[in-house]
Amino acid sequence: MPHMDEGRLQAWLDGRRGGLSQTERDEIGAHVASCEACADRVAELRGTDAASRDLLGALAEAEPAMPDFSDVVARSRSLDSPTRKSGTPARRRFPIQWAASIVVAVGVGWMANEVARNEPRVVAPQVVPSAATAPEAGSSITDETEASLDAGTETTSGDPGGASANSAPVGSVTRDADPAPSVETPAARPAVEAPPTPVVAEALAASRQNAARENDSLQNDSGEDALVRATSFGDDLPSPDITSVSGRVTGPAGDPLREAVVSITGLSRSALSGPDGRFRLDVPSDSVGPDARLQASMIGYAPATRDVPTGPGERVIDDLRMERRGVQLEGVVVTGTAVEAQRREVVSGGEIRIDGTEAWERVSPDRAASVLGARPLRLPGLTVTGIDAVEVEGTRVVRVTHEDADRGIVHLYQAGMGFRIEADADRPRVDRTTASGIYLSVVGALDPAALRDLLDRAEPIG
Amino acid sequence: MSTDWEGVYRTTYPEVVSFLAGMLLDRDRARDMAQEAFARVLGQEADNPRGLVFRTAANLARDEARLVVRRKRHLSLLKVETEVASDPVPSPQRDLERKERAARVQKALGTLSERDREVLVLWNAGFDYEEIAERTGLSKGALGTTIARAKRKFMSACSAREETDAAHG
Repeated sequence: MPHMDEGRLQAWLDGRRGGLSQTERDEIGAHVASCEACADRVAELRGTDAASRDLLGALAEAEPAMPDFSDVVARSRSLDSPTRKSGTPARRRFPIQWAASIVVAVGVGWMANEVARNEPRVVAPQVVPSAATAPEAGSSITDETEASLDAGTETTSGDPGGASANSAPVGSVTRDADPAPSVETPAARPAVEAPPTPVVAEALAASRQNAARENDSLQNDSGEDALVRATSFGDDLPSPDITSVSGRVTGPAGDPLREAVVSITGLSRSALSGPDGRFRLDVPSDSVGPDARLQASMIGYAPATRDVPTGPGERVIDDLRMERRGVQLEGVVVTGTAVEAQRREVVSGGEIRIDGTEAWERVSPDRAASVLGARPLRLPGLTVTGIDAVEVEGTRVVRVTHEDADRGIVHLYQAGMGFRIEADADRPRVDRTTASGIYLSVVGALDPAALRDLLDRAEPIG
Repeated sequence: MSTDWEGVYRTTYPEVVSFLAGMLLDRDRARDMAQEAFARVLGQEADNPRGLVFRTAANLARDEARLVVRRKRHLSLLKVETEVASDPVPSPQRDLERKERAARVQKALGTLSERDREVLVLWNAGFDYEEIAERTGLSKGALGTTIARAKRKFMSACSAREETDAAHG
């Protein structure tokens, strides 16, 4: 099969909001699982996704204290608005702040396996989780529209063989009470022949079911991952009861660990621990099954787990203490960094592309190092301190070290040829692959001695 | 069932502001408009409050964009710089870093073409392709490509910013 173009891969990564049919997504998923070059591209795109979100998230982070809500209320009163009901039972929305600040290593090889394991996928009539989709209804905003948003999502994301049985006639929304500047009615609203039944209740039931059904986000049917979900509007699963789990992630000595990913098995939500190791995760209480486990994971450490407290309310759990784990390597790839390093050029997996053209040029490691090394490279949580070209096991690679070196992480960036560098605690290994995309392989989580040994054997070039 | 807008406000306001700041390149205006957006949706019932707020905000931004003169962009960029430089409140280092980072990000956004910027910001806010296509007039099929490219340009602009900033101070 010919390689997928970047746009298609991006749409695939964006999951149900990416506008691809289930069939297309299945096809792309299958292709990515079997094509290393495209898997590379996906890894790169994931990296740029996360990094872009992280950067854009900085805008929100820097926002000073918000004006009091009463200001909004006063302002609302002054608007010439239709009569509105005032609120009664409180509903809360799930925090999605965590979404803004993640870049996590995603193993390409590993990911491909996951995808492969989940493919081919049976496209059966299914309920499309609103949690994973941005709402479909168009710009005309009315209560009715909102009420049918979730249902509407099913309409279009269900795709061939999909959820048409559950769809709602989104196109037929009324516009009279439109509080927002009115805008053109969505032109390309797909014709829907389903009965106009399903409104909120069904949509809610559907999304609940799915929240429960939806397993580990990483085993999803498409490249769509937790990040994508988190930023989709559909994340607003209405639910009356929230369990707020909070706690702290620590290292073996009780020292706080930052940027560990804390998640609950079976749910697509996760949080990152802060600088003090603290995290907080809000989940709908009824979505936490009896077997649910809270898990903290981080490169270089064995996952730590706890039972998830049940029932709504604030729950504080004991520290999640993580033990170091020697190596956790195979195919762990940190993506996005090389792209972030680009300025005049796009650096990608041993190839440099002058931005604006599609001409790819293979370059030497030295050249790549000089481009990459022109400035500090930043990953969330990692500050790169050194970039040079080295030779490992006879192969010239770019070595990227960062200040978190006590975690024993070094990136070997293979430039110039279709190699992929991996390493384990014993010895670095170079696998010849057909890879043409970006590879910043984390030779991660070696213990310091092994790392030193590895670096000792890496000979500086020039 | 009615919507707890106050709760939504608390959790979503910063995001709406940054979304609007990305659309408008004017943070003060973005703050005001975020309030406006919340004021407009207040009291409505919504199953997807976040979606409603963002959509309302996007509509407001678009209406505004039709009126606003390009010149404004430069003003707002200057404003950001001033804000960072002369923040009178003694804030911890971390706050300062945050602000600097935000200013950099916003400037970087300002270097993108309007189309790329809009697509990127809408995408980041969680809009789906269909709606992004509607709002920007791009074809849905081309969006993936545009998004991928916009992200790259954006990151590249951020990096360039970082360098410039480092060089100057």
